[in-house]
Order: sequence, then structure tokens, then C-alpha cells
Amino acid sequence: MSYEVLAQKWRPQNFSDVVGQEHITTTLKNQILSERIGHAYLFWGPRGTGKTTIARILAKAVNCPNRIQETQFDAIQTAEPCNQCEFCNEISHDRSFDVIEMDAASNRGIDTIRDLRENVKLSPATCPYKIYIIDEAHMLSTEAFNALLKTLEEPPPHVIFIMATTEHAKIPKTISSRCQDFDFRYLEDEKIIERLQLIAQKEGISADLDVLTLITRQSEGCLRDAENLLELVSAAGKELTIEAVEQTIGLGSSSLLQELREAIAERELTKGLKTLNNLMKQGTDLSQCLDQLIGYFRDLRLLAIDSSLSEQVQSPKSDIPRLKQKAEAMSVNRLSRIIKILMHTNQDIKQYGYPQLQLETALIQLNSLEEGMPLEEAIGKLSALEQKFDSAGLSAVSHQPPLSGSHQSAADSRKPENRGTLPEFEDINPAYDNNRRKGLPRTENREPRTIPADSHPNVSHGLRDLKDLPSFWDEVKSKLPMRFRYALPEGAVPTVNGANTVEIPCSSSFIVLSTDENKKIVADILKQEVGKPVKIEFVASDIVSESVVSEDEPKETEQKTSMMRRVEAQDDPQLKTALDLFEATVVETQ
Amino acid sequence: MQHPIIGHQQIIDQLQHTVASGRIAGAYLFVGPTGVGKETVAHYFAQLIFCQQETQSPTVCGTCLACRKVNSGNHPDLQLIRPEGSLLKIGQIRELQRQVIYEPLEASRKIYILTDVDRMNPEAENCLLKTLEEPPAASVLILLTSNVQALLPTTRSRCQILQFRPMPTQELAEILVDRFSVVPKQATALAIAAGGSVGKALTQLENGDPLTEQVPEILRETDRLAAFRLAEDFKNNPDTLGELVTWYRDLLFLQQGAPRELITHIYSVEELRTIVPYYSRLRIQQAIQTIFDTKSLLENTNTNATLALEVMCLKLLK
Repeated sequence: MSYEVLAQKWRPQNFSDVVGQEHITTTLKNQILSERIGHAYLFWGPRGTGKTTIARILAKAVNCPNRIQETQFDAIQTAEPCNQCEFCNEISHDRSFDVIEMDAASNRGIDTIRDLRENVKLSPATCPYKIYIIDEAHMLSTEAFNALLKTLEEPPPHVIFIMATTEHAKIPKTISSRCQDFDFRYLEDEKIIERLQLIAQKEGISADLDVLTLITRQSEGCLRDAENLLELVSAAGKELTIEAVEQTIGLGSSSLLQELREAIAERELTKGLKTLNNLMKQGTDLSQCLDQLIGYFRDLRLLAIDSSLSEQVQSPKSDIPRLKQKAEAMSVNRLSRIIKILMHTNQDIKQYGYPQLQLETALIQLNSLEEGMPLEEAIGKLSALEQKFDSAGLSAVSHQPPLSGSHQSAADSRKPENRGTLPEFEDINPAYDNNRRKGLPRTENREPRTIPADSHPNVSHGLRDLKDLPSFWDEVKSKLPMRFRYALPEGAVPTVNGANTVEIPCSSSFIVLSTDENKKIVADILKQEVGKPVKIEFVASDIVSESVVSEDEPKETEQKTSMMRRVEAQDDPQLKTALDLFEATVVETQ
Repeated sequence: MQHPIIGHQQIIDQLQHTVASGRIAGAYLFVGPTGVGKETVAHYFAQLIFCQQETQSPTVCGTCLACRKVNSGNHPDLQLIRPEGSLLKIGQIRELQRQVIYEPLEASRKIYILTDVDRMNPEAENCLLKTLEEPPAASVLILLTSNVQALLPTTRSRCQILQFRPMPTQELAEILVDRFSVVPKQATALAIAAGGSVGKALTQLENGDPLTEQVPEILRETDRLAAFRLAEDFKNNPDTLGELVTWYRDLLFLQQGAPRELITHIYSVEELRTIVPYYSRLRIQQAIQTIFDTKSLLENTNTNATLALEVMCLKLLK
């Protein structure tokens, strides 16, 4: 006999061996004892919880002649098969003529069922009962199910059908109503651990409780998963240690995971990213690691809601005092957001792959996650703000009042992120500029931030003189849309010609920007500052912006000429008429 | 064997021990991204079992008849089952079930390697279940997949699952430098393009594709019209999308002030730094999301590739 894996070798052979599912074994045993055996059973439930096993035991139990031992005066009955008689042995080794185990997934057509209907009529060869075990029954075709209906309703007295499936929903109602329905449940962790301990002991595998607990938790209540994992780890020939198991199933070492959790909780981005990198180097399965993170923060949230919820916490009981301490320091709100982002990442990993990158992005996102406030509070503050607007009787013009204290406390950001970069929403929300001009209050539900007081110069400074443009040019520049920033060289200052014409130097490679539309955008912004209409001209300057374009020189010169040509072409009156007529733009000049 | 097995040491150890102790299970599931070496290791496992060399611990001699037969793909007891067309069909599984009950011809075991099992349709997968659960004594089924989520939980639960992991980029680059004497700068580019697969990196190296590390144009481009030209480039080299993501990742890292050793494109850091100020965190994150979305569109739907890529480039240039 060749090697059998643990799950096969330790398949229970009688009812008392079966782990869990007492509600089923008790019922079946009582049925056998009282000789009220049904003619059709439907076993359904998750994988690895004992469906096929119990079906086989039932087949043996009803056929075993040794079940009833006659003494001189009385007959003693048990519900268990003896596992020694000929019938039991034949059934155990799948040799019996009268116990037919069908793989419905491989033979799913109507012809199989027609054959079955022919054979059902014949009486059993040796055993008292003829038993059909139809495994993976959900895969039978509709026709096959329907062909079975009449037989299933009134089979010959010597026939018992047992169907087993993982997908109850796929079994037609007409089938399940003709069967006795038994739902198999996920097994409790304690029972799986107990079973694993027994197996380990009998197989001479030395494994302590912690290891078995880890294996059990990984198997999600399915005994076969747990047994297979034990097999895998023990076949690797290593000592059964927590580390060996973690390595086999791709869990990161618990100390690194702990570090990662702390980094998230404490907002230590660098530490988090480094830890993640180390986990990667260890060969951790990052989606497993993500699951663990979610589980951990779920526990923390439970404890943060109420420390009496510790019953439902999944982490080991010994960790609870430490978790409680952690939970106190974090708000439920933030924990909820952390969980939400992690779950989202989980989904993204499943959809797009790139686990490392996705997790890194999540870490960065988590790092800039603020404590936030409950929605009701935010709404309250907003409506207070609204009232202030109303009472001040402000029209929707550029006079936005200095931010009220309430808004600023909402923007209680601990550290201004993106220091030295752009105001965040500018380039992603085109409506932003408009909103700001109209003085609409803006809600930033994700990233509250302080708005520096001087970002509203028109309030604090009033109108300015166009002549002073060079002095406040930088300020104006910061309000221009993204695309201008590359175009306008550092240090180059516009010149003011006459009363209202401004010449803005522009690096020659970007001279294509000088369209009427763009001019208008700049003019509008300037108009806000100086309070009168301004005419804008772009002038090609020879200063090439060092920061952006200097890298690929040779290409640049080529492009420059074509760009220049384009600008020249745009001035051509005929072309202009054509452009206006067709609302076109110049794409290429030759 | 085109390439030697590099990495996966833990799995190799495990398999050797399994063979040594005679505890070979009936069904294995190898899980890991495409090109990471699952098939190579599966063949190695077959050789471990077949090899006729008499040694204390199981090894692969590579010279005995059995080993050579595996190498040349004509061992009668090793069968490779690949999807026919786009699917692994129920007919193929039935054929397997018909054969699996026979005794092996030469070796002690019959080994079946099924590639891309995630491409079985539900009928085929269910059909395989009973065979997986209690395979005939002398047969070993090795299932390979890059997408374990697509398999039924009932399938997963019946197999011994071995996880294959892509090699971290830095490690791969180091190996390329140490063992194959690649220039460090090129090694990094190769490693990134190969996505952690040694096989892919070596193939690319043999093909002599010049890979140079250059900051993608799209990061710096400001003219939205350029989107169409760039989209054309991406269309011609669809693999570069994955690489593009790594550039945005670096931008994000630089922007957040992450430690230098975590940056992938270490040779272009200075250049990247000049670009960083033009990007906000949200913009980079959205860019990454956009690229992923487009990738998934291209891979999973029959979308118009040109259109999808143009939309992507326009979004990135915003």
C-alpha cells in the first residue's frame, strides 16, 4: 500500500470518530437504532467537513451484520459499523458491489442516470441494502436531475441514495424536497485542534499547541485543509515550529508583522516601508499578510468601541491587555478608515496584482490619514459656516471671509504634507479654481489641511498695481494651472508695456502655449489681482528651464525649430481664419 | 531544462525531503505568478521521483536514463497537460481519469502536470475533484496555476499547496550581476522588466534586447497632444505599462521622503527629484490607479487598445 496523506489515512471510520457535526451523527444513529432509515439523504456544507466520510459510514452501518449482537436472551444493538466484517471491509476499500460511489461531476449527463435507473431495480448482490453515494451532486445536469426525480421519490425498498454537495443552491428544489436535508457546518477551532493533536500523537509528529493553533486558524474551520497543512509541514521534515509553518504558508514572521502594525498605528512611514521590504525579502505572501493586518485592526476596533467586546477578538487571548492599551490610543473613526483602505487594497491586489506596490501605496495613504471626525460633527460645522455666510449677507464674489476657527480646527492636520509641492486639489479638480473664486466653502472629507493665511492675497492685500507685477509675479504664477509651470522659466519676470499689456517670457519649447485661451486664463487671474483687464503676450525667452528640459538636448533643438515654425504659422492671417472657421488647432507644421 | 533553478530553495528542500521520506501526496498545487519557475520545479520534482541514481538522499543526476527522458520530454510516465486553446477542457480531464488508473510503465509513479488549471471551466474542475481527493495509489497530480483565487475552494482543499514567490527585484538584479556578469544599471532594468522571473530576465538577456533605464517621457511631458504619440509607443510595447508603474512608485516614494534604498530606479533618482515638485501625492496615486485600470482593461476585455491607451495617456498628462 503506498503512502496516504493524513487526511485520507485519518478519515473517520465510525460515527464516534467524526469531528463535530453532532447534530447529524446523533440523528443518523437514532435512525439506525430505530430502523427508520430514510431512502434519500442530501448532505451539504463547506469542503472538508465530513460529507463523504459520513456517507460512507452510513453505508457501512446499515449493511453491517455485526451491528446487532444476539445474546442468549436479548439482542444488543449499536449504531456503529464494526469495520471488521466482510461488508465493512469491502465498503472501506471501495470494492463492494452494493455501495456505488458515483462522481457526479465526471458523469453528469442523463445517460448516467438512465443506467442508474436500470440498475436500481436489481436487488443487492450481498448486502442488505444497495446504496448510491452521489458525490458532487451539484454538477448533474438539469436533465439528469429530472430523470432522477421519480426514482428518488419512490425507490425500491432496498435502495438508499446519499447525495453530497458543496453547493446547495444548485440542487433543484424538487430534488431537495425528496431528500432528508443535512447541513454540515464549519468546525470549531477547538475540535480541529483536538483532532490534530490526536493525529500528531499517533503519527509521532511533535507539535506543540501554538503550532496547531496556527494551522487551525489558517484552515478556516475545514478539517481537511488543516490536515493537509499538517501533512505539508511535517513532510518538509523540519521541526514543527511556528517559523516553519509561517514559512510554508507564506506568513511573514510575527515579529516583522508586529513592526508593520506598529508603524501603521504610529504613522512611521519609513519604518513601515522598510518592514514591508523585509517581509518581501523573506518571501512573504503579501495578501496573507494583508489579511492579518485587517484582522488585527478589526480586533483593535472592537476593543476601541468597547473593551467588553474582548470575547469576539480573534487574536490570542494573551494579547488582549496589550491590544486594549493600543485601542485606547486610537479612535474608532481612524481604525475604521484604516480597515477600509486595507480592504480596498486587498480587492485591488486581487484585481490587478502587484501586491507589493499596492501595499506600499496603502501604507503611504494610511500615513497621511488624519484622525478625522464623525460625519455628524462635520455636517454641524458646515451648517454653522453656512449660517455665518448667510448672516454676513455675502454675495458669491471673491470676498471669502478669513477662515473661521471652526474650519481650521477641522483642518487640524498634524503635519502639513506635501511641503513644497502644490496645493493638492489644484491639478486634479478643474472646478477648484472656480469654486475658490466664487468663495464656495469647500469640503475636504479625506484630507483636511490648514490653508495658509496668505493664500488669499486678494483679501489681505486688496488690489495691486500692475506696475508692481515683477514683485508679486511668483504669487500669480502659483495660481496658474499646472501646464504653465513647466513653460515659465524660473527667475524670468514679465515686463509691463504701457498701461495694460504684459509680456511674459516663456521657454521657447513651450511657446505653443500662447493661444488665446491660455492668454485669457492668465489675464483673468491677473485681473483679480489688479482689478482691471490686462492684455497678455507670451514672448519666447532663450533661457531654457534648467529643471525640466535640460536633459535631452539634441532632441530639444529639433523640436524647438518645429515649435517656432508653429508659432510663426499661427500668426498667418489666412491660417487664423481657417482655424477659426473649423475651430481647429495646429497639430504639426512642415 | 532551459534554465537552472534559481531561488525557490525552500520548496526544493521540501520536495527533496518529501521524496526521501516517501511521503509523496497524490495531489499538489503550485501557486505563483507566470514565469516564476513552477513548471521547471514540477519537472525537477518528477526527476527527483524517477531518478535511478543510487544515492543516500534523493538527487537529480541528470545523466541516468530516466532523467534524460524527462529532459527530452519522452518519459512515458510523465505527462504534461496544457489547455487546449484557451481552456482546459472536460474531455482532457476525462482522458486523464481514464489513464490514471493504470499502473506506471517504467517508474514507481505516474506523474501528471496540469498547467494553467485556473483555465479549467467549472465542469472540468468539478470533474477533477474526486480524482484529486483519492488519486490511484501510483499517481501524482501536479497542478500549476497563477491565479489561485479562480479555483474552487474544494479543489484547493484537496491539494498540498506550495507557494512560489517572485524574486524581489533587487535580489534578481544582484544575481544577474554576480552570476551572469550583467552591468548593474542594465541588470536593474532587466530585473524590473522581468517582474521577478529569472527565466524571463535570462531570455531577454539572450535575445540581446538592449534595455536602458530612462525616465519615461510621459512623466515630464506637458503637451497633451503628445498623449497620442505616447499611446502609440505603449501600444507597440505593451509590457512597458508594468514598468511605468514602478516609475510612478518611485515618484511617490521620493515625494514622501522614503529611504533611498527602497527606490527601484536608483540610477535615475536625481532626475526624478527634479520632477517630483510637479506632482502631488493624489496625482501620483491616481496615475497608478489609471495605469492599473488600463492594464486590466487591455488584459481582460477586448477593448480597443489604442483608445484605452490614449485615454490613459491623456489622464496621466492632466
